Amino acid sequence: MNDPTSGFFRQLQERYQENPLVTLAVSAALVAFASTPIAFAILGRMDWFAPRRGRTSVKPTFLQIVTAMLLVMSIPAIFTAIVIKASYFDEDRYEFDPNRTWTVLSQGRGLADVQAADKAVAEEMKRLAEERKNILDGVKKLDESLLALRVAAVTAPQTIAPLKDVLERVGPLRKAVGIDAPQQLEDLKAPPAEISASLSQPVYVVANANVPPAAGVPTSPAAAAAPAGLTAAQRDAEIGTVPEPQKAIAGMLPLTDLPAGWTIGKLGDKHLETFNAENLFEKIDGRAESFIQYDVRGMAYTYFHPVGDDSNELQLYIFEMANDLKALGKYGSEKPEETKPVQVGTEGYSASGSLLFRTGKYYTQIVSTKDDPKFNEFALAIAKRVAAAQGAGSASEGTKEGGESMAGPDAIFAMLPQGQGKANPKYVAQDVFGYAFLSDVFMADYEAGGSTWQGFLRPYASPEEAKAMYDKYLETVKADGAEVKPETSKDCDAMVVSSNIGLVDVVFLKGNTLGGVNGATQAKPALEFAKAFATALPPKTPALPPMEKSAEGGHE
Amino acid sequence: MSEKLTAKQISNLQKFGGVNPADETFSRRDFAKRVGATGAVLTGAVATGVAITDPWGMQGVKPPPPVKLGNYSVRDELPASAPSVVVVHSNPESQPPSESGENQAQRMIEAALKAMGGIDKFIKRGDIVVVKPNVAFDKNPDLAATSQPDSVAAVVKMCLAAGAREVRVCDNPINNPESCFFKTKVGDAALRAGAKLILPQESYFEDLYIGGETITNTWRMFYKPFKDATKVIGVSPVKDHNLCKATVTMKNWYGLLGNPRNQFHQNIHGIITDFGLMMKPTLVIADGRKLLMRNGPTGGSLNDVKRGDTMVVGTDQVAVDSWCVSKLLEKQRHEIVYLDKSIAKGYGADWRPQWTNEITV
Amino acid sequence: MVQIRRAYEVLFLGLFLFFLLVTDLRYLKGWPVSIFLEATPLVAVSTALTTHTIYRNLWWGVFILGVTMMFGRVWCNWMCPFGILHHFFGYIGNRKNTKQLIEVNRYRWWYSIKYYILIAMLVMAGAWIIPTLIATPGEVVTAWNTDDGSVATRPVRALANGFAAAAERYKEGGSNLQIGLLDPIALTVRSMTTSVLPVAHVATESIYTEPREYWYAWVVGLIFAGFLVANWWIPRFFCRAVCPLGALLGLLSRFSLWRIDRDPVRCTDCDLCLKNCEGASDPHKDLRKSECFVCLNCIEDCPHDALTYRFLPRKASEITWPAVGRRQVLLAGIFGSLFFPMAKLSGGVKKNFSRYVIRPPGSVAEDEFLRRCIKCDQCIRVCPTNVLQPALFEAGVLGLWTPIMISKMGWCELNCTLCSQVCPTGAIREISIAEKLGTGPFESKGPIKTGTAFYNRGRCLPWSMDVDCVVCEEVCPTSPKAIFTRNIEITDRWGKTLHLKRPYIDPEKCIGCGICEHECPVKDDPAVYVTAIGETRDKSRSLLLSLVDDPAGSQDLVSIG
Repeated sequence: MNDPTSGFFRQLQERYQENPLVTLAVSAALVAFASTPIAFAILGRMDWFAPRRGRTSVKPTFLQIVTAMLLVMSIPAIFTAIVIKASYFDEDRYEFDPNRTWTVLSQGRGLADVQAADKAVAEEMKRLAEERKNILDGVKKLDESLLALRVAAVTAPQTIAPLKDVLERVGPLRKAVGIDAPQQLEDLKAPPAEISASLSQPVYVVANANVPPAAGVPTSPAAAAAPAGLTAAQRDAEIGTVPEPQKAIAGMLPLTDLPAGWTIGKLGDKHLETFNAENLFEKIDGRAESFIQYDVRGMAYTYFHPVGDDSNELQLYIFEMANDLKALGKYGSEKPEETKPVQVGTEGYSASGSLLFRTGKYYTQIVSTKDDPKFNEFALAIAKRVAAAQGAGSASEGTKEGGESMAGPDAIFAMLPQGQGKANPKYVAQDVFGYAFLSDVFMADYEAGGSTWQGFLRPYASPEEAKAMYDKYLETVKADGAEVKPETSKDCDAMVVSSNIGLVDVVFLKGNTLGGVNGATQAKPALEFAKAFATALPPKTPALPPMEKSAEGGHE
Repeated sequence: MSEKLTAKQISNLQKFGGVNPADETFSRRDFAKRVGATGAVLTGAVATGVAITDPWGMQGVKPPPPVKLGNYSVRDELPASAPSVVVVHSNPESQPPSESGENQAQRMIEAALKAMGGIDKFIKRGDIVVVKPNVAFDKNPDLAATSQPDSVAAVVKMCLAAGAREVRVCDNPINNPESCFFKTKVGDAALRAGAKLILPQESYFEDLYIGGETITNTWRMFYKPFKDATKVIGVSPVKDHNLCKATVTMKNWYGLLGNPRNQFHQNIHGIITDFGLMMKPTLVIADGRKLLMRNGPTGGSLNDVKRGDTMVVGTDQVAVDSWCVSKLLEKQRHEIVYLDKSIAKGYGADWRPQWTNEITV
Repeated sequence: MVQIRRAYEVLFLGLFLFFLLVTDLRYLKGWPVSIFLEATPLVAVSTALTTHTIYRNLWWGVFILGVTMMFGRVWCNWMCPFGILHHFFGYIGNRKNTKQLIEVNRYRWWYSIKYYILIAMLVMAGAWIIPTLIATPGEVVTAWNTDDGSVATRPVRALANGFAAAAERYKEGGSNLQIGLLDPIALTVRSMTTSVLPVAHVATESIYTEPREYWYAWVVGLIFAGFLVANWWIPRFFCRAVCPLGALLGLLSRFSLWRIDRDPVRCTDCDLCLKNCEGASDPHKDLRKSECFVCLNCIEDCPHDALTYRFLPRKASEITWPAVGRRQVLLAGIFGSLFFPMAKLSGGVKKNFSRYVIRPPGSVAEDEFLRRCIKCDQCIRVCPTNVLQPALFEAGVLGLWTPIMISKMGWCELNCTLCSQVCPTGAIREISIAEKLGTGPFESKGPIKTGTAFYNRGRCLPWSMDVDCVVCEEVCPTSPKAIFTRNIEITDRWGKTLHLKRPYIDPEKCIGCGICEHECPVKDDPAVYVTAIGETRDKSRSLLLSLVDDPAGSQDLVSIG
């Protein structure tokens, strides 16, 4: 019959079942609220509102009755308002739902208008982009550190299975952030025997690994079609775009007339890249600092791969250092213990498919992703061409600077005594033996009668300078608490034996040269060696190239 | 008065002359005045309430608007060929034996500025110059833990001679400020040279926005002297520091930090790098005539002090610090991490011979 | 009318007690439990003075101001629960004859003490004005120099902006809120919370799930009981002589348009109107407008109908302003302006702040906190674990009865922000659980930390007694846990090899909730304890540089979404 009424009652019933007390209270209040005017109307007629005031009875005015009525009605009204208010509240204050997700816009009431919301969204996008970059960098670093694990896996085959697992799991992560797997990692999916074979290859994470997969495919049809590198015109055009200081090294890159079956890789719309000391990190991020320490001036880069095989490649880096010495220093510092000497440039070696050599002030790396005869042969051919170009370059400069008294590093190396271990002479640019003042030292490892030591040599510009350095050495070792014993020898100006924590050093001064033995395990052979060494040295050794001084200063 | 009155009430009525004052109604004027007053006060209260309402309590946690330190560098006005670092060696033989330290400092700094284009390139007429010495400790200047008073005085005098309107010398030291300025003799030297000494007061500190590595947002800084300054010159000693290895010109700005600044030792290189972002000084002067070689930053023994006979003046504080740590303090350059960080972030360049002038006076 | 007033008294006292009982995790729901606190205009006025803002629902205070300016101090006898309680206590203590009743309800000169209390407290709240006025000229000059608007209004703008800048600068540290000590609602809520309800619980076991203890509750309870019992000798002693809210309303009722008016002709000077006069407002003579509670008893008691409640009666028949002496006002002002800096500079607030002052999560920085907290202890009432306690002098004399966490009593429940929901003044800013935990939109800000836990290794079982324990690690609620353990292998005193887990704190993760301290089996002086350092609300009390600040913190993120 009357639907709204029955609906109301049903609703009331539901509410009652939900919360009987509150429903009863509110209903009562509402009834009281509604009935107050009626009550006043009836009671007003019955003269109930004419209370006694003292001795007189006063009939209230109409206004007084209305006021009183409103005041009375306020009581249920306030009560109802509060009860109704109480049933609406923020659930969040009681519990926290861990499943809840948050949009940028749910960041609260601080967003006054659409502009503010838009700004908040933009900020959030920026933050996410930064996070993505961090993840990207993280994955790249992870790849780099995995390489060390790969090396370890050679000797511990049981790690290969879990390692494979790890790589599998990095896969989805890589996909999510859109980063290519480094190419050499795919070898790891192969059986253990092959892994160990591939592990002997040098491993470098491809520097531009963060390009999305589509862009990572290196060969375009045009490049593949070119039979053997670029034409001379193309080459000149490319070199023309190179900044002036790097033109010379860029010119050394063999871009034309490549051996059959090889083609040159494409770097964007170019085929070569050059860098100077400031932007070197763009290419070899992480290692750039080590080159800058040796005063790198510039670098030229290109890469080659067999026609039709994009997965393997040969990278060519030509570093120009400040001078021969720096090139030697950097070359020596990267040279591993076991190498295969290769006759190219001044000095060179190959290690697991890669070929590294130096000529004059140039240090060249040819890095191969594969160690097989075809690659080795090509690497050697490229190396010879580069070395030839470098030889010409440094020869012309050498005559310019050439002084009789100036010796190349090779001449100084030659002065180190022959002996076991001499095969591996080293040049150290700074912090030699942990002494801050000692720099530019030539040394080699020696061994005799179960004792090992390093023989070293450092020519200075003048005998005074050498003497000062000798005194400084004495002062330092004394300060360190070493036991110092002077030794006489007719073939040198001064000689001293110092021993500390069981290691013996012998240092002598002859003319402008500081030389001696460092870190010998036994005193006697070391002393004998040092005496012989001093005797064999000429009274005056040629000084180092002059520019070395200022160049060194630049980085101290 | 329709009802019957009692005798007392009748006598009351007669007292009022037959008119009951309570029966008077209010006049229109009275109504307007009284209701108007209530309305006005109420409206005022509501209006004030509306104006200052803060429904979510965010006013209490709202940070003050970020203030940034100005850029006091004049590098852009110098010719590109001007060196960013000038190293002045003093030849002890050619120095007049009776010459005062201040005179020597002035001679050396003047020579340096000449090599960079002259003092008028840096200090213009009417400039307000802040000279920030490092007086962190209340030690005798001969212990080389603080800036030398004579070099501060020399700088102040030069600025005034170049036409500066006002020169302020200020620092927020670790030890008691009065004591520091007094015992380092810097306060006295500055006052005698004509500078205004500003010791830190609570209200002189303000939140400055840095947005760097350690201070990602704002920090309370000794900002008052810099607020309306036009040039800033840092005058710092060259000394060893136990934690960050070296205190030269960049670490000098630590004296602007308000408390609790001791937290920054949790990332000392980070905060010094942030100074490179925060402060772009007109000039920095590293006074290497006395070097604190070890037991820094406090020193305390003459045995720790070495004579350096050098002053390094530069527009690039990173380069100046780099030169000083490797040439004067005999430290490994890469041991000073903040230098590498600052260079990587582009706050300055490493020291290079081509941008450096080495002169001897 | 008197019956209607009684109905209101019952309604409001009932509501107050009801809200007091439902201020509990189980019943709170959406009840506006703090509405009485929010409705006292004194809180609105004084927090507006100290913080220059009106927080959330303090608007109700302005509403009550409006009511007072229309009808007089109806608040005092119709709405104020403490007033109603006094009324009730006066009623049950009434054993006097009519003559005595008339005598105790006459006005006494010392009823004006409440105005001096109000003035001293408001001066403390507005003490920032002094340094502000000193700094204003300088700021005006700066504002003038930086202003480049229209020339005509430039002086006005410079003055306004200069004053605003100076006020903004000296707001912090320049004032303090003490009205809560005597504000009737704050006093009642505090007394009920810390002393009455725990006692009632002991008797009935119906209020809490476990008995509560409150630090020095007896002091609060004694003061409360003292004020109530005083009614037996001097009716409405508190309301007439002490209440600063009554004083404020008394000042404002000067504007009220309605008041009691005596018909001087009908009045036979029988003084019967004084018999039940609540406010001691002298209705038998010219009405003291500022003292009248509008209880309307006198109208009912007058045998000659000489008293009426009228709109705009004669000005001549009222005493508009309260009877206060100028010298006393000055004295009160001087006391306020001297006591505040003395109290503040007595230590315990800033430099030598106490490690025990661990404020509940969401609290604003200490200075701002003391400018907002009215010591109503509503947060203490709602806290489900009993960890919140009224401080004595831990936070300095200014922080008397403000909430601190004593972890031996309880712990800060991780997923609970009730104290911030009920705080009427924003001393504990309303936060959501997401903000407290530092999740969702607050991820970059990190969790709210109230302090940091430390180990006292000499008392810790695995550290010094070769006994396995690490209850602390087990109960640590954060994820990952702020307490972590290191396994060690040691030889015990008998030569046996023993494997132990020793606990450590990760200060970056620790939020200072104190559950480790509460659960530590070394009950009397726990081996792990929380101190206030490292709290996120105040930069100057941070511990780790890595947490000190975040650029996201500068965004105006609001907690509730």
